[in-house]
Amino acid sequence: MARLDPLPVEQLSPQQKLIHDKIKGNRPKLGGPFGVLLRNPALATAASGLVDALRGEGKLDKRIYELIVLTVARHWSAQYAWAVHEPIARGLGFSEEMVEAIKARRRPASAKPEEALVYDAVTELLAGKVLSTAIYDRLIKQFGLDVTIELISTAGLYSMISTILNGFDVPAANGEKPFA
Amino acid sequence: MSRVPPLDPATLTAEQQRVAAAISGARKNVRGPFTIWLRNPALAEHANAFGVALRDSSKLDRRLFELAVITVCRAWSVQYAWSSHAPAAEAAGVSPDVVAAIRDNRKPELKRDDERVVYDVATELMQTKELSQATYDRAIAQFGIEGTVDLVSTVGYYAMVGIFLKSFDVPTPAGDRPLK
Repeated sequence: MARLDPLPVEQLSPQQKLIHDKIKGNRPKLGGPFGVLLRNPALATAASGLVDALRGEGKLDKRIYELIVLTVARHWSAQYAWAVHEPIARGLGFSEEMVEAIKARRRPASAKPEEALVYDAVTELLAGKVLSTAIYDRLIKQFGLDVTIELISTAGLYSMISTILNGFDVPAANGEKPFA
Repeated sequence: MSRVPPLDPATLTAEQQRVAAAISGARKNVRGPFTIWLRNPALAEHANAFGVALRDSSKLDRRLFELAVITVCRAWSVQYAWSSHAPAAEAAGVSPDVVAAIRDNRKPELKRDDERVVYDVATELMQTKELSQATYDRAIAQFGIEGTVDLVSTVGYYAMVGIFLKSFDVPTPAGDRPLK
């Protein structure tokens, strides 16, 4: 059971309703981190803007984006985020080995070289280290500065989202616990 | 020296100028992570908006906000953010002894219940990656749902900022490393 149920749509203030409808888009309902953040509409708006900037308008390759999201969700054991993003990653062609390795906190053996680089960068950051010069230089060489900014921001954004999910113990939509 | 030099103001696009003006309006000037985020103005705009909403329209007062921020900065050893928020915490009423204890990784002697809840929420989320039911219940009793959303979001936001700053090894203005 969730600690905090999303507010019923009919109880939203006009400002919350406006933002709710904008963020919800085509989703059947607005849950997950946005169900929590909508309690403070300015936060929901800004978080949605960050997701749009990175996922919608970003130059970052979609496979790399999902690789980062899964790696971050696994680090924080954010059940909801993993449950949403694992099928998206598989839809983008992630192999069973890729998904299972990330889930087991192992570097995926079948990752392409640039994916392995991103995995190494994200795990180094999540371990609390300053990104090593060797990895930083390889990121810049591989992706350029603009995309490197996007991929680091994605790791940060999903760490923020995972923190919010874990703070409110937000369950996966179907109640599953991928990290049980 | 920072890995990424600040943009030359003379070279900013119209969109970058607009976002830089918004950031400067809220924060006096564009510095720290925002000098780098400005290369992607959509990211800079929404990252700034999230932080400003936490700082200015949170249910938590400034003293508790800054206590949460420095606790997260310490957990991630984020030198730049510590250098700007430790003085802000003291200015907002966090005792210098508490700031020094957090800086040195000692458990601070907190005299107020609200400060103990903030410290415990931030520490648990960053160290155990979850929030126990007991601590969650204390947060709700102390701050209500909206205040707890703001608190957990503050912790998450500064984790994101910390990851970003550590990727680019953004130095403090004095070039020192206050966090050992």
